[in-house]
Amino acid sequence: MEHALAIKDLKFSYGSNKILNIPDFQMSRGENVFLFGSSGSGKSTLLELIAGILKTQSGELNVLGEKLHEKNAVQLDHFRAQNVGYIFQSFNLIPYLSVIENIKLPLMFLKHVDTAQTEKLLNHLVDSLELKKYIHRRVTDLSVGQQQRVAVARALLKRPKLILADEPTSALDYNHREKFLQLLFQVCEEIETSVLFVSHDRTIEKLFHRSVGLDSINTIQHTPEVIL
Amino acid sequence: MSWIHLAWKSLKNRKLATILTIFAMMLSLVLLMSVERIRRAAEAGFTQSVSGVDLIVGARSGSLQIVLYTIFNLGQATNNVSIESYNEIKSRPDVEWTIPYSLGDGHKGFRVIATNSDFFKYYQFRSKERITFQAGGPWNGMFDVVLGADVAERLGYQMGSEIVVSHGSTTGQGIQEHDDKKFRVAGILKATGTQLDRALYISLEGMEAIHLDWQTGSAPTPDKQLSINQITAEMVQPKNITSFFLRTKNRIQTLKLQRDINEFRSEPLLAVIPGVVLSELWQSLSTVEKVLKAISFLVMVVGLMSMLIALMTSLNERRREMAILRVLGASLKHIVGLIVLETFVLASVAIFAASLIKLTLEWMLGPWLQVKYGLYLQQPSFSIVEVSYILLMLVLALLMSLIPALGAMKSALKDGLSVRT
Ligand SMILES: Nc1ncnc2c1ncn2[C@@H]1O[C@H](COP(=O)(O)OP(=O)(O)OP(=O)(O)O)[C@@H](O)[C@H]1O
Ligand SMILES: [Mg+2]
Repeated sequence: MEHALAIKDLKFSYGSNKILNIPDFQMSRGENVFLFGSSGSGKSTLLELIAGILKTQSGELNVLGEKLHEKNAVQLDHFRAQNVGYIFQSFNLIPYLSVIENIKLPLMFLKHVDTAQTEKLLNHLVDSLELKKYIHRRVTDLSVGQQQRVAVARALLKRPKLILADEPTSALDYNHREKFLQLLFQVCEEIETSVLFVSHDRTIEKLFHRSVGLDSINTIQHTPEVIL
Repeated sequence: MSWIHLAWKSLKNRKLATILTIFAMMLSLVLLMSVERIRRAAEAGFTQSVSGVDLIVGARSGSLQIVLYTIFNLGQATNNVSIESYNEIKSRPDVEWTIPYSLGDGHKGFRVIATNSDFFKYYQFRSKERITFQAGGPWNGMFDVVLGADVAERLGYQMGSEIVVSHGSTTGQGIQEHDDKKFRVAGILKATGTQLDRALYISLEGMEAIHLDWQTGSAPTPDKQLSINQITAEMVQPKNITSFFLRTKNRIQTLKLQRDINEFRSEPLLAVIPGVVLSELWQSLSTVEKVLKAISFLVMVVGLMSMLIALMTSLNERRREMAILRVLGASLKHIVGLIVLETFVLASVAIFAASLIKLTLEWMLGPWLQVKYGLYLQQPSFSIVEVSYILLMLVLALLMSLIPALGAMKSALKDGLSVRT
């Protein structure tokens, strides 16, 4: 079976600041992986590479069977629009658009949209993420948890095969975190989407199929930052 | 949702900055277009005081001088044109019509023009508009006078009012009056917005009649005064005129005719093509116009600058927004395009509003400008100049928006997805 993600000798640095050197890492399709690492260890950088926001510098990066290391910027943008759903830690939504407008925003970047199918999925997502009541609200009126669920709905509406989540639960309390993840996994399973979830908070790792430390796959080690 | 929808919502989200920017842009356009419209009206009123005339002929002097004293009542003729020369030129086969002017007298600051009925028949101004009466009609008798609209209004004359012509003064109060031979108002012209409104019109015979008993430029002593009933038609045949307008049968003949007149044997004459002289004159008077235009352009620059500032200051707070769009699949081109599109929406709204305000202002102030300043706002409301101002504004705005647009692109590239503020 094809991998959702396959990394070989991937290296990345910001200027002379070496961040990543990952000799080998894979993720199967449908797998939910928890990737943890301390602050500044390069988790977000890795996600940006997988999303095609950052260009690879050396090595191979295969995502959903596509060789991102061979693509140019335009192809990467197109790939991302088509295949990757992304959820940020916070501020996922455009404040001047309503909930429904935010959810439908990714459709703007798709070449072909099956309107009937999309409408069906939209209703389903809104239902299962318990957003029905809010769809015409201003997003700024929603609680953080509600906003994050809107972000999930938006990330999933184009049926991506991979969801990248950059600490989307860190602003939620433990109970809500668990509830949120259960909802996320449930809808992802339905549309056969893999999830790569990064966080430095390991309290939720048991909910995933697999938990990986970035330090264990990345040969560049960071001295943990001293927080003053 | 479409891009334009997104741009619109984003602008609406920054309501105050958007409204101020649109206001500044709109104001500059309204100013620019109004100055242009008024300039056009002034120029038209000036250069179109007479139309359909191919030549103005007077005694030899400067060509500007002839135009100034014939059309604008500025300065005086140094010499007259004899009636024989006039008749000779008038009867040439290539001449369609002529209008003789005999000048020199005035009435309370307005000049008195002696002419014949061809004036009412042929005189045209602006784009081939003819003289029309608001009351009465051309003269019947020798001592009938027709008033320009301004004269009637300012001096409060009506049909039948009696008027005394002053001798030798066309600008101020006369010293010597032709008070023994009064004129009666037989007609009042409709306002034209040109010099026509500021004159009184009598017949050449009337002009001749009031000067019959005058010797060497001074009033006759009472014993030598001729009474009106002593005057015969024979006596009032004009002997001189000051200048005349001429229309050729065929425009091609104008230059030849001009040459012939300039080489006229029996007396030194000068024929000038009025359009050429008038537009030369306008050029030299148009400094004011240039200053106004420069100010308007500066206002436009200010309008565009305020747009630039508004866009630039919004960029930082919109970095998050750009990261969201990026992660959804927006390319850097999309980011640039969005900012340029927003500018397009801003400029379009400003242009639309400015056009609306301009039309409203013209509709409201048009009649007032006409009455008060004799400025006729002529069609079209949007000339090629106004349209090019609009396009210039649009193009400059779009070009300038590239600065924030490229800035947004740069920071989007640098930020990636994590906006650290
Ligand atoms: N655009 C950038 N330019 C230069 N250096 C950067 C940039 N983005 C991140 N870095 C640096 O790269 C390192 C990794 O950053 P990254 O954001 O990937 O860490 P992270 O693991 O996501 O941390 P956190 O848990 O705090 O989010 C950090 O030392 C950071 O300072
Ligand atoms: Mg991070």
